[in-house]
Amino acid sequence: MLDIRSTSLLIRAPLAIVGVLLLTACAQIPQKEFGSYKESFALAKEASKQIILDYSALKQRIDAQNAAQDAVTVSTLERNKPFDPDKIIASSDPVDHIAARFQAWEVVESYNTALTALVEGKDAARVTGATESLVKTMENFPAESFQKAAANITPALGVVTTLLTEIQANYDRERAVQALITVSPNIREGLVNGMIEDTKDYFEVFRALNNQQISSGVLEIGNAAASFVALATSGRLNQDVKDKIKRINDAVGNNIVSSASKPFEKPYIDVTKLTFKTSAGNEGPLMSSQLDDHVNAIVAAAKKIEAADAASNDYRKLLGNYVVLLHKLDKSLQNLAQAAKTGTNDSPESLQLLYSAVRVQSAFAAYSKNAN
Amino acid sequence: MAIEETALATYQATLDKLNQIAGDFTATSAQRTEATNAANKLSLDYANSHADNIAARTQQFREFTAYMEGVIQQLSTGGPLAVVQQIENGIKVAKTEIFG
Repeated sequence: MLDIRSTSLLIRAPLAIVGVLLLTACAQIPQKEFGSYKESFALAKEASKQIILDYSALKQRIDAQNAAQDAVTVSTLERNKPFDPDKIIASSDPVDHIAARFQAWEVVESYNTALTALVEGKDAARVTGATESLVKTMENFPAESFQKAAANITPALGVVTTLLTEIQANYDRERAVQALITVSPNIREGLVNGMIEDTKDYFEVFRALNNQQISSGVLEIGNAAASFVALATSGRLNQDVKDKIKRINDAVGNNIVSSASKPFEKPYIDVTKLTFKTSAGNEGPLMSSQLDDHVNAIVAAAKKIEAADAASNDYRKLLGNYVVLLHKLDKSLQNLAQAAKTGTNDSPESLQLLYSAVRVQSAFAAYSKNAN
Repeated sequence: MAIEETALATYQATLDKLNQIAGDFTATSAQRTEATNAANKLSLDYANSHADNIAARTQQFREFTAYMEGVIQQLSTGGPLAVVQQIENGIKVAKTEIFG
């Protein structure tokens, strides 16, 4: 947080001396380093947008289910409810949480651009332009969908705006730096931490929808197994039936019993608990083929559950990488603010940010492959 | 965190029981289908509760924004340093409201 007393001293400091000192320091800052940092930042932003868009797709699936459910229940229950105009108004103007998060990234990017321009020692006009862009982005932030980030940053931007007026009249780089450093902790507490908090809910939403896929697979297995058992027990326990039961138990018992939702006993079909007839009612090519159909249906459903399990692991890894990326971004912004403050060439850790972004994209590719 | 873990454990335990019925070939077809419908409804409710968390977070910040805008208006006649001081105070309140 900005130290008021030190700022006061800075304001009183002779502008000429400060300017000369800062220009000298800025001349030592390597331009190439910040070029790669900007590229890393852009990749990080895109990687984050992928995660947010993916949540948007999950949310659409929830909304579709809610709508289907409402269509069934509302008509019967609505009659007994009071007429609620507030609820109608609220639902007619939905908050776009996805757009709000995208906009949050635009804010961080604008801030990043302004700060980078300062650290790179750009002239006053360019710094001012970059910072004004930040202010403008915030002004365009959808008022209906402000986040904590926006709430925290907006007032600090007031400081930036006020100081910019003076910066334009009399270039005082140090004060511009101070203004942007004032915003820095708010970016962390508002935007970065908010996005990290989001990941918990992203995962739980994913988990629930993923569990629906598993439940669907479990039902398919239960239905196919019931048909199989009915047919198989219509005759003797011959080798063909034993082999098919082994295939079922291998597919269901061995693989799925270890998953998070343990729907099956092991072995799934216990022949010692079944009652077989003594006739040959389950024999012959036609019966064997019908039994095979049920076995194949069970194996396919088991694979579907395994795929859902794998997708869940992939998504967990993806969000893990994403959280690391946000942490690296936070560190980069802090380093950048520090570099702006001291005029040194402290690295904004562009390579680490770049690696984190690449890891997110790679994890996203693996997740997408299993999820579809 | 403990509440979240408890909620998850309760959800998962209930889901497991419903899935056991759905996968039980000795149950009737109607029982299996009903168990799956209940499982899907349970999962939908769980998903909704977390989607609501995201919505609630946004709503919480929106309310706070109104408060901060009031602070800015009040201080619009003050100098930059006075604004900074007030912002720091405001952010302290924000932390209490949001994270408290």
